[in-house]
Amino acid sequence: MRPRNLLIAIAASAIVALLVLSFLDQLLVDYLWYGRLGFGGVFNTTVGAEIAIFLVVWLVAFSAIFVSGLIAIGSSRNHERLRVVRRPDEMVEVTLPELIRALGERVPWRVIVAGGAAVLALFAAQGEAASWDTYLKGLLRRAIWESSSRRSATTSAFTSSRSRCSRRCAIFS
Amino acid sequence: MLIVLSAGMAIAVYWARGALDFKESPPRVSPGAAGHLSVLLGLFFIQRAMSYWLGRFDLLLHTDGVVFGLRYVDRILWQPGLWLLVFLALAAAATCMYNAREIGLRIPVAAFVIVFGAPRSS
Repeated sequence: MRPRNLLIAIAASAIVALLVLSFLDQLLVDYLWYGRLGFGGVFNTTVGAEIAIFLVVWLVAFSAIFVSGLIAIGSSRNHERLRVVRRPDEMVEVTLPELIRALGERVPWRVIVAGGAAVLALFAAQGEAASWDTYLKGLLRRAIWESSSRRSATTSAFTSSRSRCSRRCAIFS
Repeated sequence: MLIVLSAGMAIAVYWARGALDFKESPPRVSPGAAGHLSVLLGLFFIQRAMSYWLGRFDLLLHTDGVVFGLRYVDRILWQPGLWLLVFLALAAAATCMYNAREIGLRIPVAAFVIVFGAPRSS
């Protein structure tokens, strides 16, 4: 591997490692905190819900955006290949679509659309995963209703640390 | 959000492949692109109609400083207003779906202005 490529690979690995670590340290602190309080099940359920919602929404969003892109490719198929000719004596403005059209069908449209759909689906999935408590409230509404009717003294003692638990404990208390 | 992202992807592909040309005024749109974007806009209006319909229930739970719940102005103005927006959004969705056959820009633009221009003027 060339030294330049090696440097780029090392820099990319360092950035990815920092991003992953910044995410994992919060997760580890939460895991230890809930485990010490005896609410390890709460942590597992909420993290599981976040991951499940993220995966399902990502898959649905990716499919919808990818299909939309494929329809767009199919609907704009009948375009003649453009030949961009540069004349030294005149200034002609060439736009990006014209340059792309000059490449004809050599552009891997399906791959580009799939990549774009994968990235855009991340935004949709992240937004929905942040609303995990809404989904859990809907799924566990019966259990929440029953537990709210027979709250014990343990719960009221536990609410002193609610600022740490935030939404997670609000649902499961 | 899903419909907006799908429309964004479709517009980017149409623009890159020359089916949409923003240099001209009004923008030149190929028949295929107009049909596809009309369907997406129709789906968007259906989603808006559902959102307005659910918004009626939100009036019962919202708070405005002193008052919690349904206020007089909500009962007299906003509840019928939201019903009106539901019907407008559904009508706009139907016209957009119809436009998928007719293929033009006027009908979707008019539907968009009617649905989103009405609440601002009120």
